[in-house]
Amino acid sequence: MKMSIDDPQFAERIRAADPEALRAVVTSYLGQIHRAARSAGLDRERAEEVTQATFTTFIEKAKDFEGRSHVRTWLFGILYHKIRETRRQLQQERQMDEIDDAFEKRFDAKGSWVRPPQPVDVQLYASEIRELFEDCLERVSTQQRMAFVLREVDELSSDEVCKILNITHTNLGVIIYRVRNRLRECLEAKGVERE
Amino acid sequence: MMLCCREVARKIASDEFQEANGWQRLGVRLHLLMCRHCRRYAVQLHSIGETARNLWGPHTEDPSTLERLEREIMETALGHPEGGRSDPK
Repeated sequence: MKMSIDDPQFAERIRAADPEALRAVVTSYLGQIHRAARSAGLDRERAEEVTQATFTTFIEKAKDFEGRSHVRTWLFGILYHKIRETRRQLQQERQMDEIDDAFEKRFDAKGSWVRPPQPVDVQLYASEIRELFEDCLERVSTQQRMAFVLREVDELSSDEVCKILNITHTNLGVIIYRVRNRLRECLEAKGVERE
Repeated sequence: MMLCCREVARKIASDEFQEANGWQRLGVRLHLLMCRHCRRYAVQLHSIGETARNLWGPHTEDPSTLERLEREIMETALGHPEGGRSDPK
């Protein structure tokens, strides 16, 4: 029996933990969820862990799926919680090191530059853009990053993003506005922004 | 009903513009026609979105990673390897 994930009856098959239905969900959304995990600022290994955990939780909780929202919305909701947990742990781990370390390493014992700051090249390779983006998004919260990525990259409707992040439309507007401005300010400060 | 630059920038950045009705959009469009700073701002936000899509869009997916992840998920969750399909392992 072929049935689309968008079918209302599909929710019943998910609730019944029908393996075929569960697999269809995994196959359909694995790529999107994995990309969202990567774009949330997790490294490769953690992005994979979070992706697996998302689907494992989804399958475990399949019988609670009410079908009131789309299964994708539900999945992204699970993912969002997982990413928040992971990032919270990470942030506790690296309170000091990263930034402080990078900074300290630029100086010798007397405090003189050993690796002075370099001018930023306007012509950037893809890898450098990635690094810059990551840099500029460093202090952006998981919620803000997810909002930005789901709207801008996955092009989900603002209704769906609000459901996933459990926020109002006004909230979402403010969040998106902040992330974009932060990125723009940051890139401009680094001399990258062009017309 | 002339919009100021701050208002225009806010509307563009918050997606309020995308979701606005025809008249409101027209107000923003007219402003953009006349104001090069807001135009630049709008273009920059657009290119930021484009960069994000380049970095994280569907074309960045690695099929072999996804295949492996799918296999692992199905194995852990359902307690049996991919039914039917032959597994190269």
